[in-house]
Amino acid sequence: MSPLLRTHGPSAGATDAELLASVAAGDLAALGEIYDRHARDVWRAVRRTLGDASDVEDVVHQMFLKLPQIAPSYDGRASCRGWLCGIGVRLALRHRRGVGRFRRMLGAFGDTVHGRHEHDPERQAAGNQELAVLEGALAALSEKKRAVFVLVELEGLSTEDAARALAIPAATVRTRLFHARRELQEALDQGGVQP
Amino acid sequence: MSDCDRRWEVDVYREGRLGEKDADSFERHLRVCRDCRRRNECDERLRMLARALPDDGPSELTLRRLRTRVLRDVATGAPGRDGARWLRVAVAAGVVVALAGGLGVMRGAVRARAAHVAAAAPAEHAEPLPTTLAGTVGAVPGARWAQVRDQGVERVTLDEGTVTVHVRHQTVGERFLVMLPDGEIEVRGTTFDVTVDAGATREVHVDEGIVELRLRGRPVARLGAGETWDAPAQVVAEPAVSARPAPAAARPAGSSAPAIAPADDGATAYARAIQLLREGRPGEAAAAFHALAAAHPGGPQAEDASFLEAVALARAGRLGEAADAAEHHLATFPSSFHRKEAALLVARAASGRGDCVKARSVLAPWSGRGDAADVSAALGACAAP
Repeated sequence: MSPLLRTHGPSAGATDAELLASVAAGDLAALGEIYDRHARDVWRAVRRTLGDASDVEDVVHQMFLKLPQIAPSYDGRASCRGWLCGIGVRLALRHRRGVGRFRRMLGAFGDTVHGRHEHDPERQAAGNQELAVLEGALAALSEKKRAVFVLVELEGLSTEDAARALAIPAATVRTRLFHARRELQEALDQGGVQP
Repeated sequence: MSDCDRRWEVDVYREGRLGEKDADSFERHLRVCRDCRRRNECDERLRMLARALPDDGPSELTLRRLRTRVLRDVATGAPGRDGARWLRVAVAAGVVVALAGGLGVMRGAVRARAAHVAAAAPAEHAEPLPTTLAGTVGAVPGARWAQVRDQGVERVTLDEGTVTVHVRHQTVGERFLVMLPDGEIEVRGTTFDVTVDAGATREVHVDEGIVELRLRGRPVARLGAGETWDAPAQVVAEPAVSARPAPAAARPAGSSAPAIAPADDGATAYARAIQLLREGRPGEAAAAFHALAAAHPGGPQAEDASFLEAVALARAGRLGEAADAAEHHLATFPSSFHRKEAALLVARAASGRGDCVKARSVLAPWSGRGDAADVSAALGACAAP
């Protein structure tokens, strides 16, 4: 019987596109490298989209598990960070559709809004009230608006990239972004936070 | 907020989608249009605030654990739906790489570090061993490592850096070793991290299961879930192999307390007993293994010593005593890695004296499981119904 052999070559210099091609071909080391480069950003985007931390690990796990199958669809741009974040956010939205999960989220959002923002004297004393208000307002956004806001404003994707990542028209991204900003701004205004 | 008919240009401008002339034009407009300026400032302020939100990113440990989980599940196809296809690709890729020529170098390096337990264990494994890789290795960028599996023995050779290893539970006849510049780690189903720096093992941390750390010139250390072994400072300063015994350290995760030395040390006696066995002095080896197991019943070598006592007695031709020792081993270590071999010894002796009931009962767990050859051989005349 021929022994199995798996070697780990230096892949630090490989581009994301090269690594994803290797991932598609079954290279675990390349998958590990892509994970090392982008897992933290994906985690953060998913975390913001879900609104609480309870299912983030499952969604990120699911995303990287699917990567060998979806890697061939990567369009080859230099960095796949935005693309991965988009996939993560889409999976997060899908993940949220379960009724049971949704109920849990509602509870979690309640905890987030009340626990973090109204009863956190340390944060308020430190002058971070505006962040607390924004965090609460972000959690209260509809998930579609929040996903767009997370990708564009937090992760820095262009509206076109966010549209591609979410598989929706760019005009829809802009519309949702507009309403998300308006709702967040209103929340900040009502919370006494002036620009 | 605004009735300005150029309000829509705020987003386009902020995204950089306006051409140079249009951008200049809009900047001039911003200077005179209070509404557009306010919206631009509000959106910019919102972005800054959003990016100033507390970072909800995962801890480094969480990320590493998830990484191990991802690589393990991709390699093993654990989630089921698409895993089998991936596994086939991974195995095929591994075989292709092996055939491509790196094999010779790796095998040479790995053989040079052959483990001593294998030398003493009976080579009677008729059952088919899994041919897919048992371990999933996740490497921190910069780590130099290789993984090879041959005849049920899998070795990860770590030359430098940090790897996280997940190993599925080993079946009878399988072994999994991490070869280090200054020793080795043997596991039977676990998740752990190991770091090598400048030719010396720096740290071993166990998440799940148990690992046995054998570093040259040091006592064997057995680490359980949540425990960490740290190299003493002088070892890092003097890489390579030190003949001078140094205290191995096992501490609970998260503890900053000084290292605690293991409670017992049977490593020297164990090495001596192995040497006797190799020198063809099985009677003396059996006595040495017996003394070791009695002196360190909870020690890391106790299980192997107990079994090897039976092996040594069998090699000395003292089959009755070997069977007794094997039976004692099974009673003391019911989940032993060597339980099948011990059971074969007991069955052979029982069959030899015509006690077919005992011979069959001790081998019952392995009958009808593809173990027909060695089970039948051990049963001898008792194999017939």
